[in-house]
Amino acid sequence: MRPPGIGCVFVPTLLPFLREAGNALSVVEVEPQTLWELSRAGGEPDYRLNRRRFDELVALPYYKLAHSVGMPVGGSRGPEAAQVRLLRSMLPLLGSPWASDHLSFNAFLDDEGWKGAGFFLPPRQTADGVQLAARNLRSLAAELELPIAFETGVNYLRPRRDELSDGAYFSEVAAAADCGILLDLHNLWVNECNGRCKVDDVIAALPLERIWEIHVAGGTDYMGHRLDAHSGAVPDAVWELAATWIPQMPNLGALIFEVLDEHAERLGTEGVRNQLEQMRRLWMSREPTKNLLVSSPAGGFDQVASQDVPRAIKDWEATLGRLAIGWEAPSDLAATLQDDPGVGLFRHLVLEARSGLIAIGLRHTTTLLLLTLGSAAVERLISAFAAETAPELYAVAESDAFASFLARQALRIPFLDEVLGLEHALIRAAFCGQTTTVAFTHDPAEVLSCLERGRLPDECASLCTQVVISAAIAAPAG
Amino acid sequence: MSDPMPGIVNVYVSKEVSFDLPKMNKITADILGRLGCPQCHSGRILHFRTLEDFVVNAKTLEVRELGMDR
Repeated sequence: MRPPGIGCVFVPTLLPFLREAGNALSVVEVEPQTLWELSRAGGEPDYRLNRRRFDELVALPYYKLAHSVGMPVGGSRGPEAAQVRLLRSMLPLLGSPWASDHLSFNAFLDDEGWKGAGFFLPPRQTADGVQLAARNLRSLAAELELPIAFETGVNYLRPRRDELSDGAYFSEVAAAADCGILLDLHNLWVNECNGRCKVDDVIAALPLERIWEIHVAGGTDYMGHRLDAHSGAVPDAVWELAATWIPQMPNLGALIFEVLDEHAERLGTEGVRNQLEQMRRLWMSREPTKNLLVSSPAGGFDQVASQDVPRAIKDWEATLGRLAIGWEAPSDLAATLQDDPGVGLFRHLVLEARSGLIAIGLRHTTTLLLLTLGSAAVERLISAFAAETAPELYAVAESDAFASFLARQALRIPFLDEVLGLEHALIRAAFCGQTTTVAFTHDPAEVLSCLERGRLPDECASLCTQVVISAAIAAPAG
Repeated sequence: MSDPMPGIVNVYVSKEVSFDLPKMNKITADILGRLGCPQCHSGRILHFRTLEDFVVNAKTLEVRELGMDR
């Protein structure tokens, strides 16, 4: 197999650039979940492909690599069947030579079932944790019928005496799973900046022939930590690490630049092109890989059942998960984690991400709240919501939950019933197939337009009308 | 009853509607187009801050304290 080469993550802002970039790159990385819509119309979570966006992506004249962002392999929750099904259906059109996901966890189990953690959290780096991750990786590879690689994750916690070093953990997982490694150099550098292992020591511990792919990215300083924020150009220190190690990787297939859509515009086309030029120089510095060797794990696999997961791992996930989402976690482990500044950072980042999803899904409602109540009060409102509801991955689900919470508060704010009613009705139609009638006492287009401009709709004309919002009904068969 | 068609939402308004329907359609389409999954990240997500800055810069109104009826 020929190595896919250098490229960047696919984000909508970069689509015009990608259409005309020619030989500036040869591969785009696809985060499948960003092309999906979540539905609970049938009761259980189901995912639907945004076909228009997917077709645009497939038409790009580059290799495609599937990099999943919704089925992390480091925890006790195995791959979700609905996600696996949809990802599998996309793979023939993507032609991805391997798939990857994160060596992290993003959910924990409590008495009521699985709860979202709102973030990729660091897994338990113990011998049991190695075996759990290996089983997840083997299971995912078998279900996708594709070679699989795990991404070396960012970890904002301090190193712990009761865990394996980062390098030993990654190396043992790769060996036990018989899989590839997606080496995220920015993650490792961020970990070193925040007091974890030195990047050189981590990489020196790895089986270099298993490194199929590298990620580079930019970040920022925040709350006394270096953040893996995918917010701009790659730092010089990361380029230097890449220059040192890439020539020593005999089986490297791809080098990918990551940037979030919200930062891609600021970085600009020239900024992205500069990163790719730097990457091309690094790519040329290595001994050309004529025949890339990637393979699915040898041997069988057995799916992880919840009752098989060691208690210590469940406790780790439940404790760190609860602390990260700002919930109480009464245990001895919680007492030791509470002292770690990384936990406070997780809590902050999770709440900020949740606020962001609400601002996306309920933009006009959030604008109205900010204009009427002010930032501090809106943040208190979101914190009160977060204290009683676990995070969701999709904006539609987080916004649905927040809209229900907000309706229960019975806030006396002019226009709120109409604006929240309309946005919640759109969400309920898209998310649950529900039909809702919303009563307006003002011109709805004018109310929304004012809020789009960041202004209160104080002078909108009175108008009594109703808007009915529903999911479209399929024509009867035959 | 048939299942809802994937991803399609209908918005019905009364016949005697007098408001700007194309504008309304565009706004509702924009709302529906933003409901997906965030990207892979391990840093800050700034959508709320961006909206907050936008509103703070645009507003001319006095900010009031939160009053919840529970």
